[in-house]
Amino acid sequence: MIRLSLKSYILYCLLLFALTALFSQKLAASTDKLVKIAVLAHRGDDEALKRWALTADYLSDAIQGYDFIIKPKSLKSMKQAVENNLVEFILTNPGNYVDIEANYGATRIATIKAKQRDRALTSFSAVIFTRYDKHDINNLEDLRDKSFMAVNPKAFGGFQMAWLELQQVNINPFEDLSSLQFSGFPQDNIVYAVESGKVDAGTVRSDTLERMDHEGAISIKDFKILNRQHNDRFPLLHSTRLYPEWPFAKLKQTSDQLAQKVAVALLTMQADSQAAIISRSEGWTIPLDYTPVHEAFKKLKIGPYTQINKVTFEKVIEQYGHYILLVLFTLIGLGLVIVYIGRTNHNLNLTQTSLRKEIDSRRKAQAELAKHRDTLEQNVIKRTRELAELNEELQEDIVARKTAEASLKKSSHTLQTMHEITSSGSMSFEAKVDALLRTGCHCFETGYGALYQIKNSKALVLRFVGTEQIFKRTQWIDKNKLFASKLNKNSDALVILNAHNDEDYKSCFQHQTLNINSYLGIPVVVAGSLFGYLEYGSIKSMNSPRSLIDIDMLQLISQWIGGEIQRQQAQDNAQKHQADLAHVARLGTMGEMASGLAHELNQPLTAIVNYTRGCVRRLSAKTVNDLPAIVEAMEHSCSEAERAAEIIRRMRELVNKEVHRREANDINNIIEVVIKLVQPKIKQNHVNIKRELIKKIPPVYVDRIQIEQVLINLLNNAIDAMKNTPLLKREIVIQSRYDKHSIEIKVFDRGSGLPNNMRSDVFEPFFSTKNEGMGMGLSISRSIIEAHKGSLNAEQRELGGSVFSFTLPLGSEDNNEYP
Amino acid sequence: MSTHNVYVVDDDQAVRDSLRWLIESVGLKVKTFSNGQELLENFNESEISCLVLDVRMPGISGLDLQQRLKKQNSKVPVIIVTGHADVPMAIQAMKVGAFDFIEKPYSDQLLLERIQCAIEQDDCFKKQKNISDEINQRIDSLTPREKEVMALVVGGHSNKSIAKELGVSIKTVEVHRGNLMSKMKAKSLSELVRIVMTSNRT
Repeated sequence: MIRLSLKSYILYCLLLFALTALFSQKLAASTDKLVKIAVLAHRGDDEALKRWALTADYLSDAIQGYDFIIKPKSLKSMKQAVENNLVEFILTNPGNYVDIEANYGATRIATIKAKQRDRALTSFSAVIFTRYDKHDINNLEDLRDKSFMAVNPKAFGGFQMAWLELQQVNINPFEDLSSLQFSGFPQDNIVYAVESGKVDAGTVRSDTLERMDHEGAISIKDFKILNRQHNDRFPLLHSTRLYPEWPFAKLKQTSDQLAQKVAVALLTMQADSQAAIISRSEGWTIPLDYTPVHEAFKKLKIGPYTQINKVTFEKVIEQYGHYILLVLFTLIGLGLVIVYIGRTNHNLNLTQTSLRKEIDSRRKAQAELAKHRDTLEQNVIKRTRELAELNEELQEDIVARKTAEASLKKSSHTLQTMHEITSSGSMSFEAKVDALLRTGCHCFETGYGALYQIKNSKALVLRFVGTEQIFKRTQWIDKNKLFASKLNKNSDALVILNAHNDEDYKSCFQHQTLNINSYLGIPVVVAGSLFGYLEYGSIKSMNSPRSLIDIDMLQLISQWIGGEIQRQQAQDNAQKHQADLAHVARLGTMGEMASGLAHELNQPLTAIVNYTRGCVRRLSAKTVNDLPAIVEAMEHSCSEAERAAEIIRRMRELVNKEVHRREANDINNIIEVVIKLVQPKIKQNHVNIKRELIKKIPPVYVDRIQIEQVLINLLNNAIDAMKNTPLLKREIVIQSRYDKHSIEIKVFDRGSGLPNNMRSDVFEPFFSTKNEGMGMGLSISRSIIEAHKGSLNAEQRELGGSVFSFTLPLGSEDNNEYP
Repeated sequence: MSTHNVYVVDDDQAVRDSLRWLIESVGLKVKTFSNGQELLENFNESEISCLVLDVRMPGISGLDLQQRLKKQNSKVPVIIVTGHADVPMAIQAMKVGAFDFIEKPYSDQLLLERIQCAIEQDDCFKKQKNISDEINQRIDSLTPREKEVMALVVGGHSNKSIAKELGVSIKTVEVHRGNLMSKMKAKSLSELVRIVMTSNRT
């Protein structure tokens, strides 16, 4: 057979059809040949005739010389008709077709485009479903032991499709279901049976549910579709794989020519033709691939593949029967021999076990006797030794009690001394630590006591006391050299009574270089971490026994020294914090005035440029007739440069954090400098400054920068307080006065004043009435004034506004020591 | 020696004096004031050719002063000088009509150049003002009838049509015309038209 592409095949058919039509037209009427089409009438003969008669008429019209008629057949009669060559064509379901194809050599020539709902589909499927409220059935596996209904065991769409899907989940519908019923056509009965609960589940051809829902017979929502499949090309509900629709097939004996004509006629059938509409299709398409059906049958071992299933077992029995018998006999013989041997063996074992038991019991009795003898000897030795030990302990006890009494006395004395030291208010930190060290020396009878501070890999001799001068204070030592370097913060004390008895100590720095022969070391812990070591030592060895060294006391001293250090550190931190705050506030003040100072600097610079440029122009024009004027201008220029330098110097001084030494200062001078610094702000706020300063005021010994800062603060506050005061009333008065003991500076403003309840609050840190204020200014100012042994006060003025005043004691530098 | 006066207002004495020194070096006359009030008290528009103002001053600030002068209808060019210029300030100054806005420290070259420009502008303005003042005086010396005739002559009417318009004889028109020509110091009709146009009166 020539293999043709589909297109050329159709063309070829069309050509043939045309030729046939031309030549046979005249003969047509009289000699029409009858062509029978067997149609599977699964819904009865009438239904089949009604559906397909027009298709037969269509073919009769389309193909000259032939008269096509429909022969409705059941599955059984279809087979007979094919077997006896009673029909030329068949139109049947895919299952039946595949069967006939395999057994009688039918060939499909077209596949119907069946109408399912309002679409024409060339495939179909089956739907397996249950009632919506069957909560125990959610998938195919759940169908095991449930009742199930299908249309007919031989129906392809009505049963076999579902059968294959069940087989895939290892359910044999004929064995594993509680019941399998076949309703016969129409399939609607199955739907009703499931709906009424007569059966648990059922299967119908695809489109049945949709059709019934559409007709109003059921509501599709009452059903649950099992194993639901989704396929874009097949929009209907379905549970099984897709199979091609009904084929139109020619039988073996039917002529190819006729078959081609029929194929062409079917393929050209219009979707809207009567024949198509009545047959519930949109005409026909090229024959599809029916392998899926073959595959299904093969798996189900039905249809053409029925035989495969049955052959095996009977044939095996027939063929190999005598071999099987022989093997059986041999096995029985072997079994008998094994039973006999087993029995003999068992008897032998029993005898052996009883003999062994007897030997064991004899051995045990012998061992028991030996053991009794040994224990007796041991008990005597042990008793003697215990008595000796007891005697020794008693003697030690007596000695220990005596020494304990002595050390108790010493301890209580030491404790008292230590308490006096630490609770002393007048001693400095260093004095206290030294006193504690000395107490330790006395207590442990050592030549020196030292406190080391660890800083990275170095140890600093922070304090040292003792008769044996070994270190200088503040001497740095490599940490690892120290014997104590092996201590961590949780270590116990190290005690070396005699260097010669300790190999470890012998090789260390203390012994090798310093010749220290007895040694006590303990870590000093401050705030939970290792601060350093406390060490006591002597050139001579200690003669007293180890138990006499009061380790508890050593720990106590270490703890108390740690406490002192912690207290000192807290104090240092507090002071540093205050200094930091002062710096921050000063920088803040600087920031506020930065733009003002830039303007301030611009003034002298501008003047310098003007003066010098003026000179240059005059000198280069050579019209100089007034040299003294030029000299004067240059003078001015110089003094302006000095003014600029002064501004920069003041700025630097203000920012400098360094603690200045107190010096004799003229307070009026300080006031003038501060007024200059604050001048930009004064101008900006149109404030009038009035000075009421007493000339020839005695000098005060102060930290100039700090006092400047206090004054800057007071002036800034005064200006800020007058933000809401009318321009003409804005006035600050600065007053200086003095008496025998002190000077007093007062700053008056016309601002919003100080309500009584606020008067004490203003000096508290973070108290501020300004939106952008830090609330640190007055707090720091008071600390500064108090550090100078003066006082800072605030008062309300009678006519509105407030007065801030501070005093500074008069006197020499000596009686004004820095705290 | 030039008769141009530059007024300087700055609260900083050093800056004030040094500015005087610098500006005098190019042969200009300088008067200095330490604040705006002082300037306003001594203000004589015809005497000043240029005003140099510092922005930041106690009392009346430079910008305030500029605004006040503007209100007094002063046309003196104002140069604003500032220690720290910011854009809004410059915009405000230029809006009120400052001649320029210069930031300190400035180059003397720039400042002096701007002062010269300001003076030239002021000269030009003053000259024009003088001319129109004089013409206005001449027009004021005309009788009402002469003014009527002049308006028609400048409008391009012939003596005949003027006579008809005013209901007088041509002879009378000719007399008026002769008088007004000599009062306006115009030698020809075209000159009269030019003079009248310059006066800004029609």
